[in-house]
Amino acid sequence: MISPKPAAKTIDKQAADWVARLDGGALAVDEQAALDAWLKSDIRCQGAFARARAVLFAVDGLQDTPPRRARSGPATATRRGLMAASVAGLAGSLLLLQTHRSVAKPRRFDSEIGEVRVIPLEDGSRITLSTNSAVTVDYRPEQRLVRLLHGEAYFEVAKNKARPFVVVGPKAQARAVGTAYSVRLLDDGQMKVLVTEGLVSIERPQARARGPFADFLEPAANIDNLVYVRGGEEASVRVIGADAGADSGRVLVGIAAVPADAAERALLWREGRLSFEGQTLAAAVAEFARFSDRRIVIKDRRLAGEHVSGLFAATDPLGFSHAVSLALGAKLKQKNKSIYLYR
Amino acid sequence: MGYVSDERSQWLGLYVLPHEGALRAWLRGKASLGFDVDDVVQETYAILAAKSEVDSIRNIKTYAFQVAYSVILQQLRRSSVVPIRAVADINALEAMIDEPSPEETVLHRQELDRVRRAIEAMPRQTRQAFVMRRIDGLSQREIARRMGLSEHTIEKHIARGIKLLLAEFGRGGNGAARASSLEKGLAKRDLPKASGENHR
Repeated sequence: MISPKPAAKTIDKQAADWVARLDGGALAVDEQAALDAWLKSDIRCQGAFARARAVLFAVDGLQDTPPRRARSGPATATRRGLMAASVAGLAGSLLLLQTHRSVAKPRRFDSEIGEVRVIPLEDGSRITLSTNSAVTVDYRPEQRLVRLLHGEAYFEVAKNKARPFVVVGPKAQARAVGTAYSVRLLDDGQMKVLVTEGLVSIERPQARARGPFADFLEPAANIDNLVYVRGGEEASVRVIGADAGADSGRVLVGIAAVPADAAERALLWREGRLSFEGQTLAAAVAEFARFSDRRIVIKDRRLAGEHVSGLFAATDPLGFSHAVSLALGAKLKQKNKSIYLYR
Repeated sequence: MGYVSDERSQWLGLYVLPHEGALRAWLRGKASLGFDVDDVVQETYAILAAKSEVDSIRNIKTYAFQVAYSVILQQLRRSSVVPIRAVADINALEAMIDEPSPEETVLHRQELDRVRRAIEAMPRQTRQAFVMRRIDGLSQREIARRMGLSEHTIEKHIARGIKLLLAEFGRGGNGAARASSLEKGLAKRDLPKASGENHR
């Protein structure tokens, strides 16, 4: 058409790059601006972007069988089969996906930045998803499987001894029969499990369940592979030496007692609030960063080390900043989407 | 984030994408009107992505064709020279579109086969990263760790996978064994020459 416009193929390439970039995690402020500008430059960019996103979801369609073609058959073999096969890189491996899957498909739930989302489940259990988090819920006849993909969630589990409730993280899983606990994945690869009620076991998958596509379905083989965490305790699960190979390395579980009021404070995000009790300003700011796009920047090292206490709305970094500037005698400046605190 | 929700992307992927081949075949038949098929398809997606809601759309295929058609009309209105043939086509759209059969309303088998083949044809590392990301739901960071590559490289592999899939769908009706009822219908009633190549 008109010559200076970029070709559709070029736009498709740019769209794919952006979608892949977004798929990797939140954008930096300048990237965000670049994406906005690109999308605004041409309606075709918006379309190509939507189409590139759509293509990704079409791939997810491979995990389903259209209902009318559903056959009864081994219910759980499919996903595993795919994983084993795709590791071997066999052509035709994805075929396995299509053929049978009679059990309800895993459902995925996401929360946006600043959103706290309550997900009631059919068995009476309840998941509260913290900001910018994602889980998939895969209820199978023999167990209730929840994968924490990123972020943090609080689980209130309806009792059912015959059907354990398992929260699966990348390297370890937390199993319960009837209890309440939160699981959080930190950016450094650590997993934190805070138990408010009951008993949870932190497990390592069995050897045979490991591999690049480890599914972590099996309960731990023996007692060496599992650690119990009781109500009022928090476990920090860390994998060391796992970076070289996929599944080498050891799982270290540290357990600390958490006083009831501290546990309650740690879970205030469920009500959209953050509570601090003498944490450093830097730590508090990091916490706020999870709940909002608006960044708080501390321009002074000593200020960052000051301690803060109080109860704040999780999605109101500006309100928090005002309170801090009053309490600590700091100056506050807003520029673009960022809030600067300095002395 | 304001850019195309997951829900809408999923809707586009499951309900619109399957008809893209038919839409492209139909658009190619109208190429004498002087538009670029890829441009129209992209604009169609932009409009469908920006719609405030899509639940009320009964027949998604027909609707997608109508949107594409409105895009063409818009472009014709903007251009100073309008081919005379365009005028005759304007009201012909509704009559042309078959009611889809129920199985056409979701991504059907041929389309899934196509996605599957396209994934299998990907270069090894791209395929591995793509499968881990989309099927297993691992994060790019985690995939990078498992494959011993940088996150940046994984992102490149994901982008490459998307490009290959976009190209696959962009190829429209040229693939083997693609003759949806719509294309057959069009071949019979509207565009015998243009869609003949797709018609077995």
